[in-house]
Amino acid sequence: MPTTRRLNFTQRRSISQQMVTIVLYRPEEDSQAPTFDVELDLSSLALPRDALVRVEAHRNRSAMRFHWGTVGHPAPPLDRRLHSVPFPPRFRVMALAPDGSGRLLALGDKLTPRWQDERSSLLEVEFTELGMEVWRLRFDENGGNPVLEVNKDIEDINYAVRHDEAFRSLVLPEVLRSILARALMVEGENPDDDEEGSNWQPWMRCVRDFYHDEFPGVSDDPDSNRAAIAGWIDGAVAAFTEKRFRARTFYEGVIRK
Amino acid sequence: MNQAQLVPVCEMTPEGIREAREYLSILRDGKRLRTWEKDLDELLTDPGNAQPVYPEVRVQRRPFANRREAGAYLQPILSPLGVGRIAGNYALWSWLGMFYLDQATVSDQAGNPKPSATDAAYILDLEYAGDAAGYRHRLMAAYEMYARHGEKSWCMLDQSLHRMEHFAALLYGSPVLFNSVGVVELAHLLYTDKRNRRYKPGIVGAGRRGNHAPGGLSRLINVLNQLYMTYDVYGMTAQQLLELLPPEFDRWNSTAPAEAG
Repeated sequence: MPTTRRLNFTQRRSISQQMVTIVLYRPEEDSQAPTFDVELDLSSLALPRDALVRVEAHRNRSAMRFHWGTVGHPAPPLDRRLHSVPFPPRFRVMALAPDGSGRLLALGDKLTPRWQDERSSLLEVEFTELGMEVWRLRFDENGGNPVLEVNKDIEDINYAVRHDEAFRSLVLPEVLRSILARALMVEGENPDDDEEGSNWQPWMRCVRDFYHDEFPGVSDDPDSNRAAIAGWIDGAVAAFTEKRFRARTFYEGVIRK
Repeated sequence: MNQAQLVPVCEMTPEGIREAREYLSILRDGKRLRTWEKDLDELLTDPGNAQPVYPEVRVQRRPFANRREAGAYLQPILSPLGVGRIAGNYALWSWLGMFYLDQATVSDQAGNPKPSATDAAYILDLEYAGDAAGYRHRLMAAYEMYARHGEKSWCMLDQSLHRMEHFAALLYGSPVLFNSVGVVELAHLLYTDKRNRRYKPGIVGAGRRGNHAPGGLSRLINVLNQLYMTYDVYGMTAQQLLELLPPEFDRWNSTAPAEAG
């Protein structure tokens, strides 16, 4: 089978979207310009620590350039107002040779920002090899969002995950049940705690949007606690299917086909 | 609408743009020349064709001796709108392009405008929206040259508003290169004669190789586009860029040491 080789004569490394998080902040008044922030993780590129970093916002014929310190010591400028570029801009991030020659060591182009108040997905989806399993849930030991792993070898599974209500109504309630069990029974989270910095807080807020039953208080009997919490989780999942999916209806539709 | 009258700047509606195209076509055919000003005023003030921008800014008809005058006049007037409402705003630039039509076209002996063959010289064409938006638009070109580069683009600013000479068309037509202060300075360094305030003769290239003659302006654009893959062309100075150019450009560089013999 023929293979395609890509030749990189420039020796320039590529900065991918995964290495860059760009967040836009809305101004307090409409007449002011939005500002932005950039978080970079260029560690995998093995660039010199003193390579110069530049960030550029651009759209149509307009562009704004920001000096961003070096790879080893990022130093964002104090003034990061995007007053001379139409919205929404795209971004370029580049690392330049430290000798001031302007030589490009690495470039990321057409990088997209997100607004600060844009809700990010609570559940990441990853298509991977799962043998005969259709899906499973993976918890990030470092406190990141849970990941729904889906068998990439199933034809059209991407569509099913995103749009097929029958698939979603069967899988997502069980995903929620697993996540709540992990958070409340394994890690001892309380859905009514507003503790800043808790990794589970966004999930708890989400659940409290549609399920308002009182969370069981802690008693001296661990078995009783577990049973009460399990009952609360069942109630939350039932409310989720009722509000979001009406899972039984979809499942009956699938059986009749 | 007389010359001294200040009128609110508007954005053209799709209907207005359709009517403007028809109007330009009629002018090119040499029809209704006697009423061209009145017809144009009606076109630009009909609420179905144009809506005032907010915050309100006002302009007046006036002559512009060159791009510099147009840019210097428009920049402070439009600035309250903010870049987000100015850059690439086809509705705004289409209205302004038609409002100053007489300045952006040559005139016949009777003083009637003779529009260029392409509507995009006055109407910011949606087909050219995006990175290359408006590279033919006479008024927007003048505004952007002035606003972005000021006197570093002096030779382009010296030109009449109705012209889109080869030098400006090539440089302004490449947004990535046009945005670079160093590139615009370099092009002026190589191809302009400051003492006589003009482009040097022969920069376009002649003969069989035409535009792509060694050291010509088109070759410079090609070389800079190649350098763009490996250098931060946007952030480099004219001197830094000059040092990277191959020897074919030496003959244009008046600061280069003269060849022996």
